[in-house]
Amino acid sequence: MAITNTNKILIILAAITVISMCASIAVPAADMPKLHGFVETDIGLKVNDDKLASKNGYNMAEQRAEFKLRYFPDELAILKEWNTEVFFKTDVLMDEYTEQPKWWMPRELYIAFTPLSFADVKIGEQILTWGTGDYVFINDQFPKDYTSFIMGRDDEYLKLPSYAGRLTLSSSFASGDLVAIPVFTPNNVPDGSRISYYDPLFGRVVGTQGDRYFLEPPMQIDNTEVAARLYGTVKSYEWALYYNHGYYKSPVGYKNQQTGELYYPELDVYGASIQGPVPVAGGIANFETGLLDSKKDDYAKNRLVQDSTMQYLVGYKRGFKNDFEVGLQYYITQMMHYTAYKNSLMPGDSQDDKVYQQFTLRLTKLFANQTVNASLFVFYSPVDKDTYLRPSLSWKATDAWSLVIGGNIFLGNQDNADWGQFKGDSNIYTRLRYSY
Amino acid sequence: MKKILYVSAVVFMLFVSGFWAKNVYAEDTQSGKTAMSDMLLAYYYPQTDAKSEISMRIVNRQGQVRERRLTMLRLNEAPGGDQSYYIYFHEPVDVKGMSFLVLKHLGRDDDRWMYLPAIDLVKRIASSDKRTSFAGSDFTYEDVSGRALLEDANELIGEESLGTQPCLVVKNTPKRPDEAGFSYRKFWIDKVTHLPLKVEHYDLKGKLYKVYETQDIQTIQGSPTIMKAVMKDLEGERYTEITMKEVSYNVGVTSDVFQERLLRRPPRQWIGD
Repeated sequence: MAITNTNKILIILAAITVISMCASIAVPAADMPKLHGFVETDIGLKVNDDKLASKNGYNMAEQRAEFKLRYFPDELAILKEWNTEVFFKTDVLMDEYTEQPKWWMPRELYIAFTPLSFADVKIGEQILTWGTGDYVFINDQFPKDYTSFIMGRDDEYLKLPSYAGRLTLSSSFASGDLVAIPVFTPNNVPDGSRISYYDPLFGRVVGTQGDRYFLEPPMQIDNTEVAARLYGTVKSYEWALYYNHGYYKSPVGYKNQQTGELYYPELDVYGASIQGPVPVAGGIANFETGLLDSKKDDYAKNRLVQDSTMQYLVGYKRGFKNDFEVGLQYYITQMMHYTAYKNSLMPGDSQDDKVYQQFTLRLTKLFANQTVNASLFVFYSPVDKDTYLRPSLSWKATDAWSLVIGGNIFLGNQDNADWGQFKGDSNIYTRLRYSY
Repeated sequence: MKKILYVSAVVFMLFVSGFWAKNVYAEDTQSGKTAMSDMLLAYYYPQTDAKSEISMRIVNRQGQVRERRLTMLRLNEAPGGDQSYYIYFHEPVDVKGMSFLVLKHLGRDDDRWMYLPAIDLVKRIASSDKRTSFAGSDFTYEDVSGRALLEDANELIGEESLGTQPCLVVKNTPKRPDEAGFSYRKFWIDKVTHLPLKVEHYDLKGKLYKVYETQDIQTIQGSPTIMKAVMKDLEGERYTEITMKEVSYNVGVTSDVFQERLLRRPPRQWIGD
């Protein structure tokens, strides 16, 4: 059943042709939406293979084609008046790791319009992002793909789309976003088939032998998630208040510990952030905080569900001469009911610390008239010397061709630590992309 | 006590000599200041608002070409004062839809945001260095948005004709050359339109390293407007050609437009498809 690389490229080219033809048939030539996107080939090799996942030696070998179409249905007067836009973006993925070509991976398919001068509406599959953190998310509870992040796919794939309706009301004084998400989308967390992870049931790092089931909340009107943000800017300082009502996007609760059944417990988040320039020193500082209220935890009496936490993030970034930039963050998570949590533990349970701290550092330097980007991102937690390095070097050879080499390197002393558990998944990768 | 007096005297002398040194470093004459102020108003502030369709061709030493196409909206708060800018990239295709919002403040750092549509991310830009290249071109952010009059000394050093155009020649010297990254610039300012026809940039060692030249001026809605210009990097043997495909003034941009909303939902009436 092996499809050769040449064949795959041919398939991608055929797909481009077919989609362009469909696009040209669907609408008159005069306002034919232009097709854009890219084709890409990615390889990621493991540098410290624990041989636990389903393939040895590598965790990424794929060809990807992305297609984007934007269309303005101006034929109907009302839609034109509302500045209506239909956007579609999909990926075709030839994943040699899973050996299953994915023909249909829509990332965005939405309709956006402005029915009132101060109101924007966006309905459909869309990427949602807010908050002030850099790879650290407190109030951004929208779904993420940590498997893609760890294996070296483009940063873009860290964000997963949500099926949602978004209403934005704007004024010069303050603006508001109200998002309703009727369809639950969980985070894509390492499950052992591609990325090995620490499983507390086994008490060690597991791969394919991991035996976990994730139970998603059923699709019901009552289960609709809500996210809201109220925000504005006062003299260069941006403030925001956030509210999320829904579920943890990662499976942090056991439905049945013996059978490895995990679920996504109910979660409410109340948060705030501020971001703005630092006087004298220059640069931008940000502060974000959030109370993650774990509704099923019953004040930490339920040992099978994540305790409520208070989270804080302080960040600072500054640009220097010659396209050099430094960013620092300090992130704290504090359990709300630690004594109750400790009392609830059973013999054999591993005990988490009350406070979890993490530092991050980002260095970015551009060379050769901004065509070469050298960057390093570091996550570091002092408790276990738990470290995750993300170096990358990218080169825009022409406006169309770009090449990236980089790595995801996990260091640390503890197999059960946030990053240390992925030691055996460390990789170096390369991505070659042609944009059109 | 003696020691304190002695130290104070030295500190005082240092201050005085500092001021004195600054004053002789560059002549800031009224005629120079007027010419430069007229130029800034004619170049960066014509009318209340503007919409420009801009093309850039960046050509490197090997002759390799990179192209940028963008739409820029500009609004003046007051002539010669704070301004708001919005920049939307149409090309290259891999950055299509990326946009920038810049609130330019005189006397303090600008506020800058960038929007990445693929991840719906509005990002605050931390860089306060205005000498970084604008979109990989030979123009810097400062070339695109201007330097404040107060940051430099301006001296009218002569009059000269460029082609048939009589010009004022102004020597523009930054008060803090290390921060500015150049020792001085020489402007040839058109006496009639007040637009710069040529600018020579001299590095910190006093060597000519960058030359700007205006290639085409047209009068649009009563305002003489630069339609084509080139910036040559003499050391890198590269150049960037900037062409205005379309410029229109007083398109009706208002200050409440320059918000996060503008980034997430590009104004199609100005940006097009």
